[in-house]
Amino acid sequence: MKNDPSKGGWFERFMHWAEGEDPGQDQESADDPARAEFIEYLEYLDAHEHMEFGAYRLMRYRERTAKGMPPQEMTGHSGHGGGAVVTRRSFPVKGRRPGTLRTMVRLYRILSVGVAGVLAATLLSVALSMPGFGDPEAPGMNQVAGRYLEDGVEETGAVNAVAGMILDYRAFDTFGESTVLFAAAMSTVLLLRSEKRKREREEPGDLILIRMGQIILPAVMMFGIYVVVNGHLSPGGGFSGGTVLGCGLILSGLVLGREEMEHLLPPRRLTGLTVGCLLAYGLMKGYSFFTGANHVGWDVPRGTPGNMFSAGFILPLNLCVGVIVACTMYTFYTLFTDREG
Amino acid sequence: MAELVIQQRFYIGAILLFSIGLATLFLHPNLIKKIIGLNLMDTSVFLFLAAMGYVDGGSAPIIVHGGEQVYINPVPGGLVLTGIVVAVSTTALFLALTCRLYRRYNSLNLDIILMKAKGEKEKKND
Amino acid sequence: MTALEILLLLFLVFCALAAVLTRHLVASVIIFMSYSSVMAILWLLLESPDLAITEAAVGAGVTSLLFFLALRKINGLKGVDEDEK
Repeated sequence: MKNDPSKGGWFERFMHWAEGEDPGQDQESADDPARAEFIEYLEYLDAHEHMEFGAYRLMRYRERTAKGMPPQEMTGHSGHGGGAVVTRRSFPVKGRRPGTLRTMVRLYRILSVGVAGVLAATLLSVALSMPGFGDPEAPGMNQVAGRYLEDGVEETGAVNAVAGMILDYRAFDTFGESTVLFAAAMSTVLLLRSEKRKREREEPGDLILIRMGQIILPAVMMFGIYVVVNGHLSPGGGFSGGTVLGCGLILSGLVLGREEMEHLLPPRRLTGLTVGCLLAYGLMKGYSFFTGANHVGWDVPRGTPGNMFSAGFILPLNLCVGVIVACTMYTFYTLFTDREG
Repeated sequence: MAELVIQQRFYIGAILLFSIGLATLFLHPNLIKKIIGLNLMDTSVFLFLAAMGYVDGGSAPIIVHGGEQVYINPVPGGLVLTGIVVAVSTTALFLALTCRLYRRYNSLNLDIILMKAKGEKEKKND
Repeated sequence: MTALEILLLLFLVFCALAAVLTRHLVASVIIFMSYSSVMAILWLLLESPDLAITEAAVGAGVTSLLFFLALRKINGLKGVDEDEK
Protein backbone atom coordinates (compact mmCIF):
# COMPACT_ATOMS: atom_id res chain seq x y z
CA MET A 1 0.00 0.00 0.00
CA LYS A 2 2.90 2.25 0.50
CA ASN A 3 3.92 2.33 -3.13
CA ASP A 4 0.53 2.29 -4.76
CA PRO A 5 -0.93 5.76 -4.79
CA SER A 6 -3.97 5.03 -6.83
CA LYS A 7 -5.49 3.16 -3.92
CA GLY A 8 -4.90 5.92 -1.37
CA GLY A 9 -6.75 9.18 -0.97
CA TRP A 10 -5.92 12.59 -2.34
CA PHE A 11 -3.20 13.02 0.16
CA GLU A 12 -1.17 10.19 -1.22
CA ARG A 13 -1.59 11.79 -4.60
CA PHE A 14 -0.12 14.98 -3.31
CA MET A 15 2.84 13.22 -1.78
CA HIS A 16 3.28 11.29 -4.98
CA TRP A 17 3.51 14.48 -6.93
CA ALA A 18 5.76 16.10 -4.38
CA GLU A 19 8.24 13.25 -4.62
CA GLY A 20 7.95 13.40 -8.38
CA GLU A 21 7.84 9.73 -9.13
CA ASP A 22 5.25 9.20 -11.78
CA PRO A 23 3.59 12.27 -13.19
CA GLY A 24 1.44 10.58 -15.74
CA GLN A 25 -0.56 8.39 -13.44
CA ASP A 26 -3.58 10.59 -12.98
CA GLN A 27 -4.90 10.21 -16.50
CA GLU A 28 -6.68 6.97 -15.70
CA SER A 29 -8.95 7.90 -12.84
CA ALA A 30 -10.36 11.21 -13.93
CA ASP A 31 -13.55 11.10 -11.90
CA ASP A 32 -12.24 9.71 -8.65
CA PRO A 33 -13.77 11.76 -5.77
CA ALA A 34 -10.46 11.95 -3.97
CA ARG A 35 -8.90 13.41 -7.05
CA ALA A 36 -11.75 15.91 -7.34
CA GLU A 37 -11.05 17.25 -3.90
CA PHE A 38 -7.36 17.38 -4.66
CA ILE A 39 -8.03 19.39 -7.77
CA GLU A 40 -10.17 21.70 -5.70
CA TYR A 41 -7.28 22.23 -3.32
CA LEU A 42 -4.99 23.09 -6.18
CA GLU A 43 -7.59 25.50 -7.51
CA TYR A 44 -7.76 27.14 -4.14
CA LEU A 45 -4.00 27.52 -4.06
CA ASP A 46 -4.01 28.95 -7.55
CA ALA A 47 -6.82 31.37 -6.90
CA HIS A 48 -4.96 32.90 -4.00
CA GLU A 49 -1.61 33.04 -5.77
CA HIS A 50 -0.05 30.76 -3.29
CA MET A 51 3.59 30.30 -3.85
CA GLU A 52 6.59 29.04 -2.02
CA PHE A 53 10.07 28.09 -2.94
CA GLY A 54 10.74 24.71 -4.38
CA ALA A 55 8.46 21.78 -3.98
CA TYR A 56 5.18 23.35 -5.00
CA ARG A 57 6.61 24.78 -8.16
CA LEU A 58 8.13 21.42 -9.01
CA MET A 59 4.81 19.70 -8.50
CA ARG A 60 2.96 22.18 -10.68
CA TYR A 61 5.56 21.83 -13.40
CA ARG A 62 5.27 18.07 -13.46
CA GLU A 63 1.52 18.17 -13.41
CA ARG A 64 1.34 20.62 -16.20
CA THR A 65 3.77 18.73 -18.41
CA ALA A 66 1.76 15.58 -17.76
CA LYS A 67 -1.25 17.33 -19.16
CA GLY A 68 0.69 18.59 -22.11
CA MET A 69 0.35 22.25 -21.24
CA PRO A 70 3.21 24.73 -21.59
CA PRO A 71 5.36 24.48 -18.49
CA GLN A 72 5.48 28.07 -17.32
CA GLU A 73 2.92 30.77 -16.91
CA MET A 74 4.28 34.20 -16.16
CA THR A 75 2.10 37.11 -15.25
CA GLY A 76 3.02 40.64 -14.33
CA HIS A 77 4.22 39.75 -10.86
CA SER A 78 7.46 38.27 -11.98
CA GLY A 79 9.58 40.13 -9.50
CA HIS A 80 13.20 39.10 -9.64
CA GLY A 81 12.70 36.16 -11.89
CA GLY A 82 11.65 33.93 -9.10
CA GLY A 83 7.99 34.70 -8.81
CA ALA A 84 5.96 32.82 -11.34
CA VAL A 85 2.36 33.38 -10.42
CA VAL A 86 -0.20 30.85 -11.41
CA THR A 87 -3.58 32.38 -12.06
CA ARG A 88 -6.93 30.78 -12.20
CA ARG A 89 -7.14 30.73 -15.94
CA SER A 90 -4.21 28.40 -16.39
CA PHE A 91 -5.89 25.49 -14.70
CA PRO A 92 -8.84 23.60 -16.17
CA VAL A 93 -11.71 24.60 -13.97
CA LYS A 94 -14.29 21.90 -13.60
CA GLY A 95 -17.21 24.05 -12.55
CA ARG A 96 -17.46 26.20 -9.46
CA ARG A 97 -18.29 23.76 -6.74
CA PRO A 98 -18.23 25.31 -3.29
CA GLY A 99 -16.24 22.64 -1.55
CA THR A 100 -15.79 22.29 2.16
CA LEU A 101 -12.09 23.16 2.08
CA ARG A 102 -12.64 26.64 0.77
CA THR A 103 -15.39 27.49 3.21
CA MET A 104 -13.35 26.18 6.10
CA VAL A 105 -10.44 28.40 5.19
CA ARG A 106 -12.71 31.39 4.76
CA LEU A 107 -14.34 30.67 8.12
CA TYR A 108 -10.92 30.44 9.76
CA ARG A 109 -9.93 33.81 8.43
CA ILE A 110 -13.13 35.52 9.49
CA LEU A 111 -12.93 33.98 12.93
CA SER A 112 -9.33 34.99 13.46
CA VAL A 113 -9.98 38.61 12.51
CA GLY A 114 -13.07 38.47 14.71
CA VAL A 115 -11.15 37.18 17.70
CA ALA A 116 -8.47 39.85 17.34
CA GLY A 117 -11.15 42.52 16.96
CA VAL A 118 -13.12 41.38 20.00
CA LEU A 119 -9.94 41.28 22.09
CA ALA A 120 -8.97 44.76 20.94
CA ALA A 121 -12.44 46.15 21.68
CA THR A 122 -12.50 44.64 25.17
CA LEU A 123 -9.06 45.94 26.03
CA LEU A 124 -9.80 49.38 24.64
CA SER A 125 -12.93 49.71 26.70
CA VAL A 126 -10.91 48.77 29.78
CA ALA A 127 -8.07 51.13 28.89
CA LEU A 128 -10.40 54.11 28.90
CA SER A 129 -11.32 53.46 32.52
CA MET A 130 -7.83 52.72 33.79
CA PRO A 131 -6.11 55.15 36.17
CA GLY A 132 -4.87 58.08 34.19
CA PHE A 133 -1.59 58.12 32.40
CA GLY A 134 1.00 60.06 34.35
CA ASP A 135 -1.09 60.38 37.47
CA PRO A 136 1.12 60.77 40.54
CA GLU A 137 -1.54 59.10 42.68
CA ALA A 138 -1.64 56.01 40.50
CA PRO A 139 -1.79 52.66 42.32
CA GLY A 140 1.48 51.64 40.69
CA MET A 141 3.31 54.33 42.63
CA ASN A 142 3.04 52.63 45.99
CA GLN A 143 5.36 52.25 48.92
CA VAL A 144 7.66 49.85 47.08
CA ALA A 145 8.62 52.45 44.51
CA GLY A 146 8.90 55.06 47.23
CA ARG A 147 11.28 52.89 49.22
CA TYR A 148 13.42 52.23 46.14
CA LEU A 149 13.66 55.89 45.29
CA GLU A 150 14.21 57.27 48.78
CA ASP A 151 16.41 54.68 50.44
CA GLY A 152 18.00 53.29 47.31
CA VAL A 153 21.14 55.37 47.47
CA GLU A 154 21.95 54.52 51.07
CA GLU A 155 21.09 50.85 50.91
CA THR A 156 22.58 49.97 47.57
CA GLY A 157 24.98 52.79 46.90
CA ALA A 158 23.86 53.11 43.29
CA VAL A 159 22.84 56.48 41.92
CA ASN A 160 20.90 54.89 39.06
CA ALA A 161 17.72 53.65 40.72
CA VAL A 162 16.85 51.15 38.00
CA ALA A 163 20.30 49.51 38.13
CA GLY A 164 20.15 49.46 41.90
CA MET A 165 16.80 47.75 41.72
CA ILE A 166 17.61 45.05 39.21
CA LEU A 167 21.05 44.23 40.55
CA ASP A 168 20.60 44.57 44.27
CA TYR A 169 17.03 44.41 45.45
CA ARG A 170 15.87 42.03 42.73
CA ALA A 171 19.10 40.43 41.62
CA PHE A 172 17.62 36.95 41.62
CA ASP A 173 15.23 37.86 38.82
CA THR A 174 18.16 39.10 36.76
CA PHE A 175 19.88 35.80 37.37
CA GLY A 176 16.84 34.04 35.94
CA GLU A 177 16.84 36.27 32.87
CA SER A 178 20.53 35.59 32.24
CA THR A 179 19.79 31.88 32.47
CA VAL A 180 17.04 32.29 29.88
CA LEU A 181 19.53 34.00 27.56
CA PHE A 182 21.99 31.18 28.05
CA ALA A 183 19.31 28.53 27.43
CA ALA A 184 18.22 30.19 24.20
CA ALA A 185 21.82 30.43 22.98
CA MET A 186 22.47 26.76 23.72
CA SER A 187 19.26 25.68 22.01
CA THR A 188 20.27 27.62 18.91
CA VAL A 189 23.69 25.97 19.00
CA LEU A 190 22.00 22.57 19.12
CA LEU A 191 19.77 23.43 16.18
CA LEU A 192 22.26 25.03 13.86
CA ARG A 193 25.52 23.37 14.68
CA SER A 194 27.31 22.17 11.57
CA GLU A 195 29.32 19.06 12.26
CA LYS A 196 30.80 18.51 8.87
CA ARG A 197 33.05 21.58 9.03
CA LYS A 198 32.32 22.16 5.40
CA ARG A 199 31.78 25.85 5.76
CA GLU A 200 32.29 28.32 3.02
CA ARG A 201 35.37 30.37 3.80
CA GLU A 202 34.14 33.90 4.26
CA GLU A 203 36.55 36.47 3.06
CA PRO A 204 36.98 39.73 4.94
CA GLY A 205 34.87 42.62 3.74
CA ASP A 206 35.75 44.91 0.93
CA LEU A 207 37.77 48.11 1.09
CA ILE A 208 35.12 50.60 2.17
CA LEU A 209 33.92 48.33 4.94
CA ILE A 210 37.45 47.75 6.24
CA ARG A 211 38.39 51.43 6.25
CA MET A 212 35.19 52.59 7.91
CA GLY A 213 35.38 49.71 10.32
CA GLN A 214 38.83 50.73 11.44
CA ILE A 215 37.46 54.16 12.29
CA ILE A 216 34.15 53.19 13.84
CA LEU A 217 35.01 49.97 15.63
CA PRO A 218 37.18 51.41 18.44
CA ALA A 219 34.51 54.01 19.17
CA VAL A 220 31.78 51.39 19.38
CA MET A 221 33.76 49.15 21.71
CA MET A 222 34.75 52.06 23.94
CA PHE A 223 31.16 53.20 24.15
CA GLY A 224 30.03 49.70 25.01
CA ILE A 225 32.59 49.35 27.80
CA TYR A 226 31.70 52.81 29.10
CA VAL A 227 28.01 51.98 29.26
CA VAL A 228 28.67 48.71 31.07
CA VAL A 229 31.09 50.09 33.63
CA ASN A 230 29.02 53.18 34.41
CA GLY A 231 25.85 51.24 34.96
CA HIS A 232 25.32 52.36 38.51
CA LEU A 233 26.07 56.04 37.89
CA SER A 234 24.29 56.90 34.67
CA PRO A 235 21.74 55.26 32.39
CA GLY A 236 22.95 51.98 31.04
CA GLY A 237 24.07 48.88 32.76
CA GLY A 238 24.80 45.32 31.85
CA PHE A 239 22.03 44.70 29.34
CA SER A 240 22.36 47.92 27.37
CA GLY A 241 26.14 47.88 27.28
CA GLY A 242 26.16 44.18 26.54
CA THR A 243 24.08 44.61 23.40
CA VAL A 244 26.29 47.47 22.21
CA LEU A 245 29.37 45.31 22.81
CA GLY A 246 27.70 42.45 20.96
CA CYS A 247 27.04 44.71 17.99
CA GLY A 248 30.69 45.77 18.08
CA LEU A 249 31.79 42.14 18.02
CA ILE A 250 29.52 41.42 15.06
CA LEU A 251 30.95 44.41 13.21
CA SER A 252 34.47 43.20 13.86
CA GLY A 253 33.43 39.78 12.59
CA LEU A 254 32.30 41.41 9.36
CA VAL A 255 35.41 43.53 9.01
CA LEU A 256 38.11 41.04 9.94
CA GLY A 257 36.64 37.99 8.29
CA ARG A 258 35.88 34.59 9.67
CA GLU A 259 39.41 33.21 10.08
CA GLU A 260 40.73 36.00 12.28
CA MET A 261 37.72 35.94 14.53
CA GLU A 262 38.10 32.20 14.90
CA HIS A 263 41.59 32.78 16.23
CA LEU A 264 40.35 35.41 18.61
CA LEU A 265 37.11 33.84 19.81
CA PRO A 266 36.68 30.18 18.98
CA PRO A 267 33.30 28.72 19.89
CA ARG A 268 34.61 26.90 22.93
CA ARG A 269 35.98 30.09 24.39
CA LEU A 270 32.64 31.83 23.85
CA THR A 271 30.76 29.09 25.66
CA GLY A 272 33.37 29.05 28.41
CA LEU A 273 33.05 32.81 28.92
CA THR A 274 29.27 32.62 29.11
CA VAL A 275 29.22 29.75 31.55
CA GLY A 276 31.97 31.25 33.69
CA CYS A 277 30.24 34.60 33.99
CA LEU A 278 26.91 32.97 34.80
CA LEU A 279 28.50 30.94 37.58
CA ALA A 280 30.34 33.98 38.90
CA TYR A 281 27.05 35.90 38.99
CA GLY A 282 25.38 33.10 40.89
CA LEU A 283 28.16 32.85 43.46
CA MET A 284 28.41 36.59 43.98
CA LYS A 285 24.75 37.17 44.47
CA GLY A 286 24.32 33.94 46.35
CA TYR A 287 26.08 35.36 49.35
CA SER A 288 22.71 36.60 50.51
CA PHE A 289 21.47 33.05 50.44
CA PHE A 290 24.54 31.69 52.14
CA THR A 291 24.68 34.26 54.90
CA GLY A 292 21.02 34.97 55.52
CA ALA A 293 19.07 38.17 55.54
CA ASN A 294 21.34 40.02 57.95
CA HIS A 295 24.54 38.93 56.24
CA VAL A 296 26.15 37.54 59.41
CA GLY A 297 27.69 40.86 60.37
CA TRP A 298 29.94 41.23 57.32
CA ASP A 299 28.47 43.70 54.89
CA VAL A 300 29.69 44.53 51.44
CA PRO A 301 31.40 47.92 51.54
CA ARG A 302 29.31 50.51 49.80
CA GLY A 303 31.64 53.41 49.27
CA THR A 304 30.50 56.91 48.56
CA PRO A 305 27.78 57.16 45.94
CA GLY A 306 29.04 58.85 42.84
CA ASN A 307 32.39 57.15 42.68
CA MET A 308 33.01 54.43 40.21
CA PHE A 309 34.15 51.90 42.79
CA SER A 310 31.10 52.03 44.97
CA ALA A 311 27.78 50.28 45.32
CA GLY A 312 29.05 47.02 46.60
CA PHE A 313 28.70 44.18 44.16
CA ILE A 314 26.89 46.08 41.42
CA LEU A 315 29.98 46.81 39.32
CA PRO A 316 31.16 43.16 39.06
CA LEU A 317 27.60 42.01 38.42
CA ASN A 318 27.24 44.54 35.63
CA LEU A 319 30.45 43.27 34.07
CA CYS A 320 29.25 39.66 34.25
CA VAL A 321 25.88 40.46 32.68
CA GLY A 322 27.54 42.55 29.97
CA VAL A 323 29.88 39.73 28.99
CA ILE A 324 27.03 37.21 28.96
CA VAL A 325 24.85 39.33 26.70
CA ALA A 326 27.70 40.22 24.31
CA CYS A 327 28.81 36.61 23.94
CA THR A 328 25.22 35.48 23.35
CA MET A 329 24.70 38.01 20.56
CA TYR A 330 27.97 37.03 18.92
CA THR A 331 27.10 33.33 19.20
CA PHE A 332 23.85 33.96 17.35
CA TYR A 333 25.76 35.73 14.60
CA THR A 334 28.32 32.94 14.14
CA LEU A 335 25.63 30.29 13.97
CA PHE A 336 23.66 32.04 11.29
CA THR A 337 26.59 32.65 8.95
CA ASP A 338 27.53 29.08 8.33
CA ARG A 339 26.11 28.94 4.79
CA GLU A 340 25.80 25.24 4.95
CA GLY A 341 22.04 24.66 4.83
CA MET B 1 -14.39 61.42 25.43
CA ALA B 2 -11.83 62.81 23.00
CA GLU B 3 -9.64 64.17 25.75
CA LEU B 4 -9.85 60.84 27.55
CA VAL B 5 -8.52 59.20 24.41
CA ILE B 6 -5.76 61.77 24.19
CA GLN B 7 -4.85 61.28 27.81
CA GLN B 8 -4.65 57.48 27.54
CA ARG B 9 -2.87 57.58 24.19
CA PHE B 10 -0.09 55.16 25.08
CA TYR B 11 -2.40 52.42 26.30
CA ILE B 12 -4.58 52.68 23.22
CA GLY B 13 -1.57 52.59 20.92
CA ALA B 14 -0.15 49.55 22.68
CA ILE B 15 -3.47 47.68 22.45
CA LEU B 16 -3.81 48.44 18.74
CA LEU B 17 -0.30 47.17 18.07
CA PHE B 18 -0.97 44.03 20.07
CA SER B 19 -4.10 43.21 18.10
CA ILE B 20 -2.29 43.85 14.80
CA GLY B 21 0.43 41.42 15.86
CA LEU B 22 -2.11 38.81 16.95
CA ALA B 23 -4.02 39.02 13.67
CA THR B 24 -0.75 38.64 11.77
CA LEU B 25 0.05 35.54 13.75
CA PHE B 26 -3.29 34.00 12.80
CA LEU B 27 -3.64 35.00 9.22
CA HIS B 28 -0.34 34.71 7.42
CA PRO B 29 0.87 31.20 6.62
CA ASN B 30 4.40 32.45 5.99
CA LEU B 31 6.72 31.70 8.90
CA ILE B 32 8.74 34.92 8.66
CA LYS B 33 5.56 36.99 8.90
CA LYS B 34 4.53 35.03 11.95
CA ILE B 35 7.83 35.85 13.62
CA ILE B 36 7.38 39.53 12.81
CA GLY B 37 3.91 39.36 14.34
CA LEU B 38 5.32 37.85 17.52
CA ASN B 39 7.88 40.64 17.75
CA LEU B 40 5.13 43.22 17.33
CA MET B 41 3.24 41.66 20.23
CA ASP B 42 6.38 41.67 22.38
CA THR B 43 7.23 45.32 21.85
CA SER B 44 3.64 46.46 22.30
CA VAL B 45 3.50 44.83 25.74
CA PHE B 46 6.78 46.55 26.67
CA LEU B 47 5.31 49.89 25.63
CA PHE B 48 2.25 49.26 27.77
CA LEU B 49 4.29 48.32 30.82
CA ALA B 50 6.73 51.20 30.62
CA ALA B 51 3.95 53.72 30.06
CA MET B 52 2.43 52.69 33.38
CA GLY B 53 5.47 53.99 35.20
CA TYR B 54 5.39 57.53 33.93
CA VAL B 55 4.63 60.39 36.29
CA ASP B 56 3.74 63.83 35.01
CA GLY B 57 6.67 66.17 35.32
CA GLY B 58 8.96 63.41 36.50
CA SER B 59 12.50 62.92 35.36
CA ALA B 60 14.68 59.88 34.79
CA PRO B 61 15.43 57.94 37.98
CA ILE B 62 19.03 59.06 38.41
CA ILE B 63 18.99 60.33 41.95
CA VAL B 64 20.98 63.50 42.52
CA HIS B 65 21.12 64.98 45.94
CA GLY B 66 19.64 68.30 46.78
CA GLY B 67 16.33 69.66 45.69
CA GLU B 68 12.87 68.21 45.67
CA GLN B 69 12.53 66.25 42.49
CA VAL B 70 9.79 64.03 41.23
CA TYR B 71 11.05 60.79 39.74
CA ILE B 72 9.22 58.31 37.61
CA ASN B 73 8.42 54.87 38.91
CA PRO B 74 11.53 52.71 38.37
CA VAL B 75 9.86 49.32 38.82
CA PRO B 76 8.25 48.80 35.36
CA GLY B 77 11.36 50.09 33.62
CA GLY B 78 13.44 47.43 35.29
CA LEU B 79 11.04 44.70 34.19
CA VAL B 80 11.09 45.84 30.58
CA LEU B 81 14.88 46.18 30.43
CA THR B 82 15.49 42.47 30.80
CA GLY B 83 12.41 41.69 28.75
CA ILE B 84 13.81 43.35 25.65
CA VAL B 85 16.95 41.22 25.67
CA VAL B 86 14.97 38.03 26.27
CA ALA B 87 12.77 38.91 23.27
CA VAL B 88 15.88 39.00 21.08
CA SER B 89 16.98 35.56 22.14
CA THR B 90 13.54 34.05 21.54
CA THR B 91 13.47 35.62 18.08
CA ALA B 92 16.85 34.05 17.35
CA LEU B 93 15.53 30.67 18.46
CA PHE B 94 12.47 30.98 16.22
CA LEU B 95 14.64 31.90 13.25
CA ALA B 96 16.87 28.88 13.89
CA LEU B 97 13.78 26.65 13.90
CA THR B 98 12.62 28.23 10.65
CA CYS B 99 15.98 27.50 9.00
CA ARG B 100 15.84 23.87 10.08
CA LEU B 101 12.25 23.51 8.88
CA TYR B 102 13.17 24.97 5.52
CA ARG B 103 16.12 22.65 5.19
CA ARG B 104 13.88 19.67 5.83
CA TYR B 105 10.64 20.50 4.02
CA ASN B 106 11.83 23.11 1.52
CA SER B 107 8.96 25.44 2.18
CA LEU B 108 8.17 28.50 4.25
CA ASN B 109 4.44 27.97 4.18
CA LEU B 110 3.01 26.45 7.31
CA ASP B 111 0.10 24.71 5.55
CA ILE B 112 2.38 22.87 3.18
CA ILE B 113 4.80 21.93 5.95
CA LEU B 114 1.97 20.48 8.03
CA MET B 115 0.62 18.53 5.11
CA LYS B 116 3.99 17.07 4.29
CA ALA B 117 4.61 16.15 7.90
CA LYS B 118 1.24 14.46 8.14
CA GLY B 119 1.96 12.57 4.96
CA GLU B 120 5.27 11.38 6.27
CA LYS B 121 3.67 10.21 9.44
CA GLU B 122 0.98 8.34 7.52
CA LYS B 123 3.58 6.77 5.30
CA LYS B 124 5.49 5.65 8.35
CA ASN B 125 2.41 4.15 9.94
CA ASP B 126 1.56 2.04 6.91
CA MET C 1 4.98 67.16 23.62
CA THR C 2 1.62 65.50 23.52
CA ALA C 3 1.25 66.23 19.83
CA LEU C 4 4.68 64.74 19.15
CA GLU C 5 3.81 61.62 21.08
CA ILE C 6 0.53 61.18 19.25
CA LEU C 7 2.29 61.67 15.92
CA LEU C 8 4.90 59.06 16.78
CA LEU C 9 2.26 56.59 17.96
CA LEU C 10 0.34 56.98 14.73
CA PHE C 11 3.56 56.42 12.82
CA LEU C 12 4.15 53.25 14.86
CA VAL C 13 0.73 51.84 14.01
CA PHE C 14 1.25 52.74 10.36
CA CYS C 15 4.66 51.06 10.30
CA ALA C 16 3.23 47.92 11.89
CA LEU C 17 0.46 47.70 9.31
CA ALA C 18 2.93 48.26 6.49
CA ALA C 19 5.34 45.62 7.76
CA VAL C 20 2.52 43.12 7.93
CA LEU C 21 0.87 43.81 4.60
CA THR C 22 4.00 43.91 2.46
CA ARG C 23 4.66 40.90 0.30
CA HIS C 24 8.36 41.37 -0.19
CA LEU C 25 10.10 39.81 2.79
CA VAL C 26 13.17 42.07 2.79
CA ALA C 27 11.00 45.19 2.68
CA SER C 28 9.02 43.86 5.61
CA VAL C 29 12.17 43.50 7.72
CA ILE C 30 13.38 47.00 6.81
CA ILE C 31 10.07 48.50 7.87
CA PHE C 32 10.37 46.57 11.11
CA MET C 33 13.76 48.22 11.63
CA SER C 34 12.22 51.67 11.38
CA TYR C 35 9.47 50.59 13.76
CA SER C 36 12.12 49.72 16.35
CA SER C 37 13.89 53.05 15.90
CA VAL C 38 10.70 55.04 16.45
CA MET C 39 10.00 52.91 19.50
CA ALA C 40 13.42 53.93 20.88
CA ILE C 41 12.47 57.60 20.52
CA LEU C 42 9.23 56.91 22.39
CA TRP C 43 11.15 55.37 25.28
CA LEU C 44 13.16 58.59 25.49
CA LEU C 45 9.99 60.66 25.64
CA LEU C 46 8.85 58.43 28.50
CA GLU C 47 12.00 59.39 30.46
CA SER C 48 13.61 55.93 30.40
CA PRO C 49 17.07 56.27 28.86
CA ASP C 50 18.10 52.68 29.72
CA LEU C 51 15.30 51.31 27.60
CA ALA C 52 16.12 53.68 24.76
CA ILE C 53 19.73 52.53 24.51
CA THR C 54 18.75 48.88 24.71
CA GLU C 55 15.94 49.11 22.16
CA ALA C 56 18.06 51.09 19.70
CA ALA C 57 20.88 48.54 19.88
CA VAL C 58 18.59 45.53 19.86
CA GLY C 59 15.78 46.40 17.49
CA ALA C 60 17.58 48.10 14.67
CA GLY C 61 20.74 46.13 15.29
CA VAL C 62 20.67 42.54 16.36
CA THR C 63 17.10 41.49 15.52
CA SER C 64 17.11 42.89 12.00
CA LEU C 65 20.58 41.49 11.39
CA LEU C 66 19.39 38.04 12.44
CA PHE C 67 16.40 38.34 10.13
CA PHE C 68 18.62 39.17 7.18
CA LEU C 69 21.03 36.36 7.96
CA ALA C 70 18.20 33.87 8.25
CA LEU C 71 16.72 35.05 4.96
CA ARG C 72 20.09 34.62 3.29
CA LYS C 73 20.39 31.10 4.69
CA ILE C 74 17.07 30.06 3.15
CA ASN C 75 17.76 31.85 -0.12
CA GLY C 76 14.84 34.17 0.34
CA LEU C 77 16.64 37.42 -0.30
CA LYS C 78 15.72 37.71 -3.94
CA GLY C 79 12.35 36.04 -4.25
CA VAL C 80 9.07 37.73 -3.72
CA ASP C 81 6.91 35.72 -1.42
CA GLU C 82 3.26 35.96 -2.26
CA ASP C 83 0.88 35.35 0.54
CA GLU C 84 -2.81 35.26 0.75
CA LYS C 85 -3.37 38.60 2.35
